[in-house]
Amino acid sequence: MVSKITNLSIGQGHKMRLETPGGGGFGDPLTRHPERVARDVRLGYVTQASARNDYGVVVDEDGAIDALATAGLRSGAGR
Amino acid sequence: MNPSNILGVDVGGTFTDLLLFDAETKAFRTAKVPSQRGDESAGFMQGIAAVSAGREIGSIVHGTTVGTNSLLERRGHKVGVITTRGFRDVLEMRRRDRRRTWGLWGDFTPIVDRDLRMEVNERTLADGTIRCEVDEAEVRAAATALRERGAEALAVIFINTYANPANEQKALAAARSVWHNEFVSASHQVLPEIREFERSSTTALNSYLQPGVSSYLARLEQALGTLPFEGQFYIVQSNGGVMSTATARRFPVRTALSGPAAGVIAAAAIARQAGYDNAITCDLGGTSFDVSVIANGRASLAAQATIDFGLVIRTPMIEITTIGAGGGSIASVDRGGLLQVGPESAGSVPGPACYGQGNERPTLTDAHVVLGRINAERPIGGKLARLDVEAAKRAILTHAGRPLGIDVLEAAEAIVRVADARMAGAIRLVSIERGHDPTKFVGVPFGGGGALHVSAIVKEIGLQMALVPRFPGVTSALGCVIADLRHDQVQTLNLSLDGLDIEALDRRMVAVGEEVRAVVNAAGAMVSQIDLSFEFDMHYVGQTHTVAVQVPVTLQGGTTGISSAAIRTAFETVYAASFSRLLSGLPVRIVSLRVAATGRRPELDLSVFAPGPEASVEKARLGTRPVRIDGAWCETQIWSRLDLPVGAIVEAPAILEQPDATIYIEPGLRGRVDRLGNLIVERVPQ
Repeated sequence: MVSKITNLSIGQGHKMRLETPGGGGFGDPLTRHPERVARDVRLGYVTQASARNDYGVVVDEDGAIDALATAGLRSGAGR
Repeated sequence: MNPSNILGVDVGGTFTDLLLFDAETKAFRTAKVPSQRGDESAGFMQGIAAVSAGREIGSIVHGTTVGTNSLLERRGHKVGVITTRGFRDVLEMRRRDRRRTWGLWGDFTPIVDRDLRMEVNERTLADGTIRCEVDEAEVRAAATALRERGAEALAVIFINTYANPANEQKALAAARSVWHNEFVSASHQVLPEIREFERSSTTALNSYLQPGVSSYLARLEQALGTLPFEGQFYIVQSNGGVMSTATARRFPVRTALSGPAAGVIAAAAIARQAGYDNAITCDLGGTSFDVSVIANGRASLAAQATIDFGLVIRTPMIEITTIGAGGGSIASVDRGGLLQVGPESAGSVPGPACYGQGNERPTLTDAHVVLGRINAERPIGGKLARLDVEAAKRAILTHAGRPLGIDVLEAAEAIVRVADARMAGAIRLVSIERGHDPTKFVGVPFGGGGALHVSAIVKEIGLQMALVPRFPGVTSALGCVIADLRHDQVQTLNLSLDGLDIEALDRRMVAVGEEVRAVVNAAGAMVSQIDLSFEFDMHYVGQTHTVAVQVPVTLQGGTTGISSAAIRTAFETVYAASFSRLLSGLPVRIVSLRVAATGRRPELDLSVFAPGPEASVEKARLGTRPVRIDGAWCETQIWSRLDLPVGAIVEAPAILEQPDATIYIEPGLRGRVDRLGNLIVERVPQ
């Protein structure tokens, strides 16, 4: 694959910021075990919002899983 | 108290070995008691009771596996880390190495979970400039949060602190003001050396071990307080030197290979005094087989070691290769139908099947018992009156013989052969595969079981010969008694050799030198002299790797007398020796300074262990018993090893028994007692 940017020259005082995505996942995020998603949230790998939107897992501020809301999201949403 | 009386205590995974030695009268006593896993201090105290009431002991030197086991079994304490913003994941990213090359899932778990690693705003640049001051209130808030999440020890790890520790020192003080115990440390204290991952890992592991090692030492000191013991108490470090318990509490990470290091130190001394400068030490205990190389009389030191995948400790350590094959290693037939020995071990509790304490799976020791090589009526360790041969046979037949379709004796011989091959493999790894010629080395087998495999070690590897120490079972305890005191300190300098301010460098060398000397001095007065050694890690500009360059200077009258020319000559000599060429014209850099203070202890003349005039061949002859050799029973001469006089020659096959070990000499070899009482196992002269 060809890089989007090559041979970029930067001068003194310039700043360059490089952001890379995380690794790709494997499998359907909606089937990842809710406990594992909650752990990812606790350890800061996944945000609370991403847990809800991408994994269909509702985790509250204290890290506890809302089982009812999670079941609701996973049965209906995103399919 | 008698200051010349030194007690060495080696607490291994299976047995606790003790040696009490009086340097003046040359009197000594030894003892071996079972270790108590989880309560190592109990075995420690039982062992002391077996050799002394306590009053006469001048100092106790202890080799411990408490730190090693906490690391290998991941049983350290919960650590909180406060780090520079953006560097939260250094412990997790490591050096982008992987345990397994292929697969979708990583399985590395850092010793500090991500939610216990917090970032604060601060920035120290590589040249030592503070770009962003640390905010103490932010550090206090982070420490409080980590404490609330259950952290029991705290590590402050900012980047580039080897160049300027100011921010880290401030943060350390702020964190201490809100922390609930003494276990707060910072990376510039543990390892002020360049390279973020190694410094982070070493500092975090230090904190991981600190609560456990500290409470273990406190329990020991409390228990020692109940004895009339008034002497000093020391701990063996991974580099084979000894440190005070105060230093051990500050740097518990330096105990990671404490026990095995003591054994290597002793084996090196034994080989040297017997006249051999090149040796391969082989420690066969209950759970593992540890191999190390002594070349030209010196143990090899590595600058860092990986205790387990991703657990890197950067501090000088004796290079030891360990495989999971010991007397307690369990034999089994794997799913592919192959016989395996280890790494799972039955330890001392429940122990081998022949101990009759609940383990019904066969161990290496069971195989030796069934083959008649270990005397079932006189087991070592002294806890059991006799070994249960029938139980050993049952275990071997059930778990090895029947699955392989062979009888119990064939299976027992196969178990020993597999263990021999694994040990030979480990020795090959450290000798032949590193360019050492095994025919120039003598094997020094020790530990409870090493001597049973001495013949196989000589034959399979092609070693010159093997030398079984007079008391193989207490070799590690002997190492505790003879080890020198030692303290190491590293400091990254990042200096160019051209235009070097030599006076400023001298001042730094003097400062570090005096600091390390003070640590050894403070440890107590049992050394004859303190030697300082100065070493630089150096390279050509642009290189990543460094070479260790010892500079021939010493600290006298407030100066080391170092010169740029001396540094350059020393560097070029080492570089040429390693790479067979120089890169003339390229600038040379000094990356780090390493200073070691060694408090020399008087050399122990090992001839005190030699057999006395009362020893005689007649007295040593114990009769015969059938021993299984190459598929047939052979009536074999049994000897009482300690009663053999100097110069005695033992023809094969032979079994030599002594309280702490059994030696087996195979046909084709013979045994000879040297002037120190060591048993030399060599090929029969043609």
